[in-house]
Amino acid sequence: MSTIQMNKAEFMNDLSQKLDKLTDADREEYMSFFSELIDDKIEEGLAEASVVESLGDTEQLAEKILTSVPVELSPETEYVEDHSVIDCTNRYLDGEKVFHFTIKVPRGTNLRDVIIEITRDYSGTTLFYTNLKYLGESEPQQTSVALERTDSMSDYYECITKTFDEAGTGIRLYLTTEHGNYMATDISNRSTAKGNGYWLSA
Amino acid sequence: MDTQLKRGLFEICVLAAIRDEDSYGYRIIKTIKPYIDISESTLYPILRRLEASGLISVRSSEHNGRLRKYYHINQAGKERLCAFSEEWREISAIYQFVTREANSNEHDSNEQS
Repeated sequence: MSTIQMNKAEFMNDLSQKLDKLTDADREEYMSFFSELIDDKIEEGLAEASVVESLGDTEQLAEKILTSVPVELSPETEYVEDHSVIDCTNRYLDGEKVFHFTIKVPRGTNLRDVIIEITRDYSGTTLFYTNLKYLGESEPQQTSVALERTDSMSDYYECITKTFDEAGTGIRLYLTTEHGNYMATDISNRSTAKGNGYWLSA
Repeated sequence: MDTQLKRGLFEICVLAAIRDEDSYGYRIIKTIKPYIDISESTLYPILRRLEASGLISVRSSEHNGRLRKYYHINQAGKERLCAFSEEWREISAIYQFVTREANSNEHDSNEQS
């Protein structure tokens, strides 16, 4: 639905529906931000319809928002550990103390749907988690996530990051697809050379 | 402008926009827009990230019968701005060096031709 000729209520309703993947709390935060913004613009003398139109298409707006908010892990969701679906491989720490590793996901997966959880070695204590798309885009100075290669089943992304060096050395990956919910738990072998790195499935 | 550079500058601009006075979403956009093109959908994730990092804090205040969120810069946010100024001095020196080299090369090639 285009935002053209929508009023504020219609716009809010439309955007809210498109943000259904967010938690209730996150969605409410965004809705209240846009509500305030629209009210402020109207208060300044702008027409409601043109204010709504200036915010752009709700589809694109929702996509921008969804890529910047980590997808929450639902405690009710059960994930099956399956390294043939999702996996971490080839991790090593180079001489500049920068981590490199490869993440395998089913071909065509949107990185926003992959949750990456960073844990302490062996203890498995969570340090933080976020979605893979956000990780690559939100900390551009520290982390990059780029498609390395593709085969008939999977996409392989190379992740390069400085942020994990002193922090956790374990990673858990979670992916929800229409076929099921998958996860992979991996601990590094602490390799320092490309080609020698691998992950020990825990 | 490079997208990655722009993202880092967004955060700095938001901090600068609230350095002297607490401000709210729409006013922050208006303050920054003459310098860097920022959209509404870009601003809010930045505000949340700055808040999660402890660089800013948020309070709600009543305005014309509705609630409006005001953003306040914390000490850590002010320190981040100072760090940016320091970094920028270094970048500025590099810029001077690069442009001087470029101008000098141009000058040399003009002389040769």
